[in-house]
Amino acid sequence: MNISYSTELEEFASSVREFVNAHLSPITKRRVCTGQPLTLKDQMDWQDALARRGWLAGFWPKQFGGCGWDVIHNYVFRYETAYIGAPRILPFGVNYVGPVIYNYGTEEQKKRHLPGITENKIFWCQGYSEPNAGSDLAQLSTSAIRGHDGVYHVNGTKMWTTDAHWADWMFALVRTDAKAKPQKGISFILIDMRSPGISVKPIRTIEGCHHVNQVYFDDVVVPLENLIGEENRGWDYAKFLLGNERVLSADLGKIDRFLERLHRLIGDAGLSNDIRWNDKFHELEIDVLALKWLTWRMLDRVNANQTAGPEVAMLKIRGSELQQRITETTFDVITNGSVPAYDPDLFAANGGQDDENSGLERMGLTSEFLLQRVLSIWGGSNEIQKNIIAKRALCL
Amino acid sequence: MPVTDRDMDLTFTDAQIGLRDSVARFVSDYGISGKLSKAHRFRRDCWVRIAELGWLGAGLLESEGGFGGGPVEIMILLERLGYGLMPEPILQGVMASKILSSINQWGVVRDAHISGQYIVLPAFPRKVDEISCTISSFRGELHVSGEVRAVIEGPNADRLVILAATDSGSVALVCLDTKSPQLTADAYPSLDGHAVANYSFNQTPVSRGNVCIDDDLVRSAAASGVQLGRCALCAEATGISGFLFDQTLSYVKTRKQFGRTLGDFQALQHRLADMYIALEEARSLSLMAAITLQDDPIPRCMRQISAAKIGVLQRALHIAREAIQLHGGIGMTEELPIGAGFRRLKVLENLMGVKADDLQRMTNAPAFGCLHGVSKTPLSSPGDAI
Repeated sequence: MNISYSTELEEFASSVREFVNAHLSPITKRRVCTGQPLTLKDQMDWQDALARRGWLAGFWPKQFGGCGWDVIHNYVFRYETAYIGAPRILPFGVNYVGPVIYNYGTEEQKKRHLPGITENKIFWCQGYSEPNAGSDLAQLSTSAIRGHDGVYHVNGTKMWTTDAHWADWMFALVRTDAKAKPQKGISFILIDMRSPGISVKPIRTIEGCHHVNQVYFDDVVVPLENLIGEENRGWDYAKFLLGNERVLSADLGKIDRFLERLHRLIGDAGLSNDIRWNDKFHELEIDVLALKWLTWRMLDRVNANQTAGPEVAMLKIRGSELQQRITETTFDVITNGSVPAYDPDLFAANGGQDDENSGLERMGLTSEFLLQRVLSIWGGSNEIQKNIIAKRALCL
Repeated sequence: MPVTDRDMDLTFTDAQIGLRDSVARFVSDYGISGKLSKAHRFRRDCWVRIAELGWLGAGLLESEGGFGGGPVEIMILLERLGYGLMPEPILQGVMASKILSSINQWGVVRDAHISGQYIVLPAFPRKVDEISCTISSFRGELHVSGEVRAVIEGPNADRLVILAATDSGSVALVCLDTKSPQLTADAYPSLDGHAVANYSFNQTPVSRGNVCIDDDLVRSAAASGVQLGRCALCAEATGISGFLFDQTLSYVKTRKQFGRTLGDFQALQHRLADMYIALEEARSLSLMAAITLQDDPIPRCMRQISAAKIGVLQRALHIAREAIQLHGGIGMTEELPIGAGFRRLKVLENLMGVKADDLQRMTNAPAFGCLHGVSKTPLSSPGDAI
């Protein structure tokens, strides 16, 4: 039993670190490391660099433009990039619609859409949640009716659509059969965001920034060639997740970066010898160690069997809680009895410039702490994750 | 304390109920009403209205220029204002009333503040024994130098009350006009939507009438103001918690997923029950702080006021985090006031000391004792009282 990397894996990890240090803009890195919102340019420049190296969708099969990484290589890539301070790769194209297309799409659809993802030419957003379909996604009611003109007419609204205001395309779950049982009347379709009838309304989140939107569809025409797989089988395609992906949901690289940053900030505040702060830090450290070794045991299992059981839901639960606790403690140490300054409009005002500014960095840490409250809500809320564990892992 | 023939009477008097209901009515007009707009910021006309209703004097005896109340009235007032997430800094306003009323020669300023004619706010350092201003005499004139940071709504104040060290090492209380020369204010917006300022005084001139140099009186006035402020903070945090709890309870009773309301799920019922227990404990600790301040002299009451501050904020923040989580996606948006409540509580958690400061006070305070925590052992010096 051991946890060390093989020579090959160590070389891979090293090459990832070298790549990040060579290609990640210092401005972007500083923003990531201080919790500030990223500009479109921050996100796209990084993804372009990865795309040029062939690493944007590294875990995809080679025939579709990936490197065919197994779960361990994917873990190392994710860990090393997040630890240094690279932006997360937006998952909508690379992790969600791409694999659905290469597993269930036609050759024509693969040819049409996959290169746009691996080359970072097309920006995707996800049209799943609706005002009345959150955890109970199967209740979705945005409809796609086949008209006499042989195209779908889409009507309804999607909610919490991250970055829809930047997106070229949306993949959406829509209702194509209102009479069937909910899960049996849903189709997976692709929608060009420039179609007439689409409007995007920004939603401000509690840290005061704009990431998510509500998208309205008013008789939006979608050609039949944009249906993925069979009509009314969309729910099955959506449930198809790279199970291996979920084993990475603890986001250990980011957590280690957060923990080290907290340690440094406690020192900067002159509290290194303060026993209360030491206790608080060590409690977090213990929980991070528990999550780390839990992740490794599950990774090992997935690597051996190539399937992830429902118990991987634990990683999302504990990973989200730890990120929330560490960022809140970080906010507490930089605030420590003062009245924290906060003006989110300043982030936008500074976008694009070299903005090494300690006031902005403190605000970034504040912004990050507030935004992390979403981690236990999105991606399948922690309550749903516990249901999965209870019903499918424990058979209750 | 009202005279009754019952032992342990914790019911409100008719006057207290009347106050609570008046504030609740006021807040239903001026408070947050379900939709948070960017405009929910300090309103001078609202402050003046609160003053006209007599509430800045709610914690003062008639002989002090108030309406005959005490810490319990302050608790009632701030709890209701907290429920409405009111942006006006009444917490600081009632502190100022208390401090001004302790200095006999400041009756005119006190009355002007209580009537709403001027806005007077305290500008104390986080640790009141780390005084960062000095006052000295030059050619017969008094000047203040130094700095005070993070004065909430300083930019909207007409007068600030600050502590300054004299040449002889005693402490003076100074009432400064915010338009004084050689006074600079560096303003910034705070996390919870206040205008806040860091002040620098560069030999700011002040007239003798606006300075109190009686060291014992100054320490006692500052201590009574600060302890009242801490009670008011507990009450405000409790009010915010009550609002967040009510919003969440209402949401889980109406929001439907999986064919039933969220409130039908036992797992969530237990969490609502936990939130409710936390809320009732917060209310209880808030009451404890008020009654202890009412009954026990400073410094005896301080242990329990510190305990209340820690205990209330811990529970309030639990309620706030659960409120966001149980609202799901919409709890993360500014469409609802849940985020605003959470942000305000994080600011309150840091105001007038952090948890470590209060834990240290509990460690240093008179020995842990009986019902009221009243000890027979006095503290070593008056400076420990703040």
